[in-house]
This record gives sequence, C-alpha cells and structure tokens, in this order.
Amino acid sequence: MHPTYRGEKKMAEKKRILIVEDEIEFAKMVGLRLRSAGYQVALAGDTQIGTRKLMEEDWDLLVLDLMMPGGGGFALLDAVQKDPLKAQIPVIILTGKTVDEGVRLKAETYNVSDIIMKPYESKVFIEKIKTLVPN
Amino acid sequence: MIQDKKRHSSKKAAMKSLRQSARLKVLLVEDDPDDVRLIQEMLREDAHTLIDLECASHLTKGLEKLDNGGIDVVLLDLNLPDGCGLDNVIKVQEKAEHLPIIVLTGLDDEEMRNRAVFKGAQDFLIKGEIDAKTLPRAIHHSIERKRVEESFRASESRFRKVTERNADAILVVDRRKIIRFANPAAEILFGMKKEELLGQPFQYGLRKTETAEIKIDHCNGDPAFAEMRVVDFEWEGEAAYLVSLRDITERMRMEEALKASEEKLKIILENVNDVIFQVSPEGVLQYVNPAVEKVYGYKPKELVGKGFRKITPSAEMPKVMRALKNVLSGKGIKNFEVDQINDHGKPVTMEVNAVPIRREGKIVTVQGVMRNITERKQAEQALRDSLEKLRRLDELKSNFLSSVSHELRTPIAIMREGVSLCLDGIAGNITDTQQELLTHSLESIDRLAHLISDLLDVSNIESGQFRLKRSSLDVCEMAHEVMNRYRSEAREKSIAFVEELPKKPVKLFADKDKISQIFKNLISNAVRFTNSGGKISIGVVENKDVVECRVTDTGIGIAEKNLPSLFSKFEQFGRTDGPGYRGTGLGLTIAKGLVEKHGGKIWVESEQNQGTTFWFTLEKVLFPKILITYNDKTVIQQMKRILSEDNYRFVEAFDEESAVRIAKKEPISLIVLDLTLLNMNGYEIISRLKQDVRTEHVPILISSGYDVDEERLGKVDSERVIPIIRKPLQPDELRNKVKKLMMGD
Repeated sequence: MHPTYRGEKKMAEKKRILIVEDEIEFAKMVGLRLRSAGYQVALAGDTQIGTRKLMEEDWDLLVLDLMMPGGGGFALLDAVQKDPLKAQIPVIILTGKTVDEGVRLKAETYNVSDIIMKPYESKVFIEKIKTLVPN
Repeated sequence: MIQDKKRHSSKKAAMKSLRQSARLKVLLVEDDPDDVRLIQEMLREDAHTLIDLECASHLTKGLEKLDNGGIDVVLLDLNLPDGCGLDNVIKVQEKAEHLPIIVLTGLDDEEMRNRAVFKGAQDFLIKGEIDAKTLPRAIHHSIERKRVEESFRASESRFRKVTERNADAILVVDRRKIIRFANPAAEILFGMKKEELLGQPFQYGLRKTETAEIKIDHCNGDPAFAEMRVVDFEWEGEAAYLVSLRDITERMRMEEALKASEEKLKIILENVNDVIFQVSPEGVLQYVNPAVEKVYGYKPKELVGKGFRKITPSAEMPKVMRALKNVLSGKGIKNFEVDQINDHGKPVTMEVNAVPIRREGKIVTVQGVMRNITERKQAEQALRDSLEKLRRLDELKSNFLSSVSHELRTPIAIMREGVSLCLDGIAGNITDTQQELLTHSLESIDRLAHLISDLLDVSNIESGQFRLKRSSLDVCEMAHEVMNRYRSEAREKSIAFVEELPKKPVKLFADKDKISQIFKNLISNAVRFTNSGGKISIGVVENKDVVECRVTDTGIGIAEKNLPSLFSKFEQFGRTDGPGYRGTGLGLTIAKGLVEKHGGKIWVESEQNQGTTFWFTLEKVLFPKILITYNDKTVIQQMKRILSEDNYRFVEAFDEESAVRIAKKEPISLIVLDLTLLNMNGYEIISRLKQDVRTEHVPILISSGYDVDEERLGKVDSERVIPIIRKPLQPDELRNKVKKLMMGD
C-alpha cells in the first residue's frame, strides 16, 4: 500500500462551495447541481448565518444572493473584508435583483468574479464555476 | 602840564573826527552868483553845522556832480539857464532818488513851491527869506525827513515783498476804511485789479478780535468766501488796519457738497430695507439705521450703546464673537449667516457682510450690512422638505419595483431549475414522455421569465421613477458587443453581419445597460425577422448634438398599416416565425422608452419583403464636471489624467472661497476635496456646501494624504457618507469611486 501524501490527499478532497441564499428550495437545487458536478456544498439561509459559516470554515467559492434578511449579500461581503484571507475567496453573485451598472460598480469593490441573474442558465453557471474552482 | 596837554590834544582829535564824520556835503545848483555867495556866507557863519558846499551853476553840471557821489542834500534853484520848474526836480530825482531836495524859489512862486514839494522835494526856501538859522535847519530837517521817508519806503518795500507772494489776500485799510494797499492775492480774491481796489472804501465790518467770514460778490459769477482777520497797522505814518483774507470758497463748496451728500446718505440709510450698522471693536453698537426696527422691532436708540446680546440667542453668541474677531483681524465677513431674535422673541436669520474701517492704520469701527433672509431660509427649507419627500417617494417606488422584480424572479428560478435538474437527469432517469413534457415546461418558463423582465422594464419606464445610471461609454463598442452576442445565431441562419462604425470611438455619457438593451432589442428583432442569406448591418454616426444609430436588415419588413402602432405595447405580428421566437411584443416599446429617456428619437423605415431600418438618436449630454480643490498641482494633474479616461470635464479651485463659489455657480457633479492643506479649510467647505440648497447634494470625494480628523469630519458629515480615498492614488479605485458617486444611490 502506497503511503498517501498529504498533498495528494488534499488534491483528492472536493472543493467546498458555500451557498448563501434565503430561498431554501432554490438553494437546495443549486446545491444539487453543484454536488452532481463534484463539489462539496453547504447552505446558509441568511446574512448572519452565512457570515458565520464563511468565517468559521474553509471555502473555495461563495455563491451569494443579494436580497436576504439581515442586510443582504453586500453586507456579508462588507463583514468579510475585515479578514484578508476570507476576502480573497472568489464570489459569484446569484440574484433576482436587476443587475445594472450600479450593482456592478458596487461589486467591483469586492472579489466578485461574476454576477448572474435568476433564473439562470445552469450549464453556463457550471462552466463558470469549473473555471474558477477546478475540481 | 605835559600830561594835561596830551589829554587836551587827544580830546581835540576826538572832537575833530566826530566833526569830520558829521560833515555834510551840500550841492547847490544855482546860477546867480550873488545867491551863491549869500548862501556860502550863511553856512560859514554857523560853526556847528559843518557843511561843505559844492556848487554848480547849471543843471547839467549839477547832475554831473551828483554822478560823482558823496552828496547828502541838493539845494536846487528852480530857475536855471538849462532847466526850470518841476523838470529840475524830476531830473535830480532821476539821478539820485534817495537824496533830499530843497528847492529855492522866488517870492511869487507859491504854486511852483507846492508842486515841487508834491513832486517829492523835501522843503522849499524862499530866496529873500533865508537866513543863517533857517538854512542849516532846513538842510538838517530835510535830511532827517528823507531818511524817515526812505526808511518808510524800505519797510514798505519789505512789506510789499512779503505780501506780494502771499497766498492770503492782504489789504491795508486806513482809519477812514479806504483801501490803501492790496496784494496780488487780493486782486484774485476780489476779482479786481489793484488800481480798482486802491482808494475804494472797504465794505466789510472791521473787528479786530474775531475771525469773521465774509462773502464777496463777484460781478462775473459765483460769490467767493473768505475768512478775515484784522489787526492794527501803520501805513505811511498813520494808524491803519492790516486785513488778511483767506479764500475759503473751495472749503465752503466742499462743505456744501459734503452736506448734500450727507443728506443723500441719510435718505438712503433711512429708507433702505437692509440694516446698516457700525459697531466698535469691543462689540458695542455705535450706529444703526431705522431699518433695524423693521427687522428687530427695536428703535435704533434702544440698541445703540449696547452689545449684541439683546438680539442674539445665547447659543449663537460664540459664533458672533468669532465673526467679530474675524473682521478685526482684517478679513471682514462675507455672507455670514446668523440667527437672531426680535423683540417678540421670534427668530430671524440675517445675512451679514462687514468690513473693518481703519483710521491711521488702526481699526476704529466695524461697518456692515445685514439682510433679513428669514423668508429665504424658510423657502429653502420648504424646498428641501419637498425634495426630501419626493426622494423618499422615489425610494419607496424603487424599493417596490426592486422587490417586485425579486419576488417574481425567485419562483421562476425555482421552477426553471427544478425542471432543468430533472431534464439533465440529475434527479434520476426520466422517460421520453417526461423529457418531452419537461422540455415544453422549460420553454414556457423561459417565455414567462422574458415576459416578466419586459413587463418590469416597461413598468419602470412608465412609472417615470427610473433614473439613468450614466457613465462614459463608447457607442461603437456597445453596438459591436451586442452584435457579438448574436453572431453565432446569425451564423446558424446564414445571415451576414456588417458593422459600419467610425474608426474613432464615439463617447457618450449615458446608461450602459440601457443603450445595450436598445441595441439588443433591435438586433435580436433583426435576427428574428431576417431569413437565411440575409444581411444585418449596424451604423453609428456622431453629429453635433446627437449620436445617430441604425440597425438595418433585409428581412420580411413591416406592413405599412402596422407602422403607426409599432412602438406601442403588445403589438405582435409575424408570430409565425418558429419555436423559441416567442417575442413579448414589448421590445420596441422598451427601446422607445429608453431612447426617449436619453433625449433621443426612434423611427423606422420599412418595406415589406425588402427589409427594415430602425433609426435612433441619443442626445449628447455634457460629460459631468468635476471640481478638484487641491493645493498640489501635480496631484491635480494626476487625477485629471486618470479620470480623463472617462471623459469628465474639470474645474479647479485652490482655496475655500473659490471652491464654494464655483460649486454654487456651475453645475458640478462631483467635488474632490483635500482636507488638510494650507489655505483650505476642507471641513469648512463641506459645511458650507451642505448649508446651501444649491450644493448640498453634490457628492464629495475626499482624497487625503494626511490623516483625516475624524471628529471634525463627523461634525460636518454626521452620517459619514463621504468616501475617502487614500494616497497613493490607485487609478482603478479612483475611477470606480468617482463612477459610483456620479451614479448616486
């Protein structure tokens, strides 16, 4: 039996994605989609829980809704900026809010890679994720 | 004996020299030898007289002798062979005007004698009546008189010299009030020549102890005024008066003019509506005009002599004292707003302008004007309140639409993803029937999503509350980008894409998403309604005031009857264009709304089965102006360079006053401010901008190299909304922040 190096073991570990979305059913669906693409997924239902989970555990990607109770997606990102490591985690915003130049400009302040509007085209979504966080 | 002799001889010598110095030389001009001998004898008889006699028998000889000099007195016969009468006197006077002349006349020549004396001879002697006593006496007396005369003349000449150049008019008036002398200044003052003045009576009262003012009427114009002083004087041996007159006409005129202008000033001060005041450096009111009663209800006399406390609420006192200090430091205050209270305790707001008044370098008083701006402030507040109401209403609407959008999209997202997951087999295998059903469902869901999107857009446009989020964009680039999105679809349908765009960018300050949406709506329509082998072209042209865009296709065209209602809602035609092309009919309505929001027009040219061209214009709005208030020119240049990418216009200010002035006067979209450098009180600028309705909503960006004084900033920006950008300047951060602030949110 070959000894397994920590490096190899790490590479074999699935990438962890945190979905912060207050619409539970939708969150579950997105989770299902991501899991079938080979990712490890966790869900958070509001800004506070999302912030806590993000700070307490390690993540490779954050999928974030904007309009949520407790302040919303941008409030979560503000809270996270304090920790430089956590601020580095790539973010994909997935929102039902109309995305315009204003929203885009605001997102530029944070490490947001993409802003996708609901309803979304799942194939495109998965492609984007695979590029950002290769499994 | 010997000593006595010596003493005697020295005494004699002294007497001799005394006698010698007292010797007079008399020139006798007489042709009759008998008379000559007579006179000689008479003179010799008098031992004390010590007179030497020179004789001349003719006038000419006498004149010659005078030339030689040394003569002390002339005895002149009026009947000479070569001259007679007054002529002789005149000729001798011409020769030696300083010498006394005694004329010798005959018994009958009374008239001649008098005339001679009148002409200037000192005395006359009648030839039959001269004796040894009278002759020497006459000689001595005439010399004495001449001397006195000469001394008079000398002093008179000195007098004349002094008075000639004197700026004051000087007159000598005798006891009978006749003018005996007038200097050139007097001629000017009276407007009369000296000849006209001399001998005239002096018309004004002469009082020695006072200075009087007299008015002199001129025949040729305005009267003159003079200040008169009279003193005792002597003139030609007689008591007289010396009158000196100082011309005060100019002074009087200035006094009159001053009185007139004071009257004018008084009228202004009493009738103007603004309060005009003078305050001592200690803050005590020295003067206030009647307008103060209109504003404060107090009469001027109730306030003069007091400080500000009566009319200033205690909370405002420190501000007032600071303003006073500012004026006293030489700066003066401009448009300083202060709250006051009137006699009924009602608040009034005054706008004050004041300056220090100096006398001999020291500030003696503070002078200023106060305007009652209570009503203006109330109007401003009312305006602010209604603007605030509108803003809140806007926000509510915006939030509503935003929520609606979100609320509608969420269930659709859920439906879609649910169906999609099933279709993709992630929820397990599905049968063919299930696949077919689910596929239709998915299509419907997409249609629904599209419809909702369009409905939200139309609703947004129609509610009027939707605001363009403008930024700098290149129209050509936008058009090209949208074309790219449809390129593959066009390729599938074998439709050619042509871009007729200018080489240079066409920069516009507009809403990127909306412009993109306009192009998308038109281009997607073109793709939809053009058959295989067709061509779609886009064009952009920059004109003076608008940018003109065009989307042309060689598609199925639009029937003429459909053209009028093309841009209104729910006009659908040509629905038989295959699956997946279910338009909502709102695309053109939305495009029209967006074009018009940009100040443009949209119109169409079409012919059935030939093709369609849509034209739309976009107004060239001025790029926003940024006011940079910075002390450091290199920093300003750096900022301008970075921000020029986004085509902003710039204006610069280097101090507080000009920054505030520019912000109030010009349409400024953003102010970049440095808080801490010399001559600029950045915090004050923020405060002043916030106070004025015109400038309180202009976004501000603070760029500060030094640490910002949080406390001071908190005072002027209580909600801490003003972003701060630190040095060194990051280009992307700066552009980003500026863009965000411009969009406003």
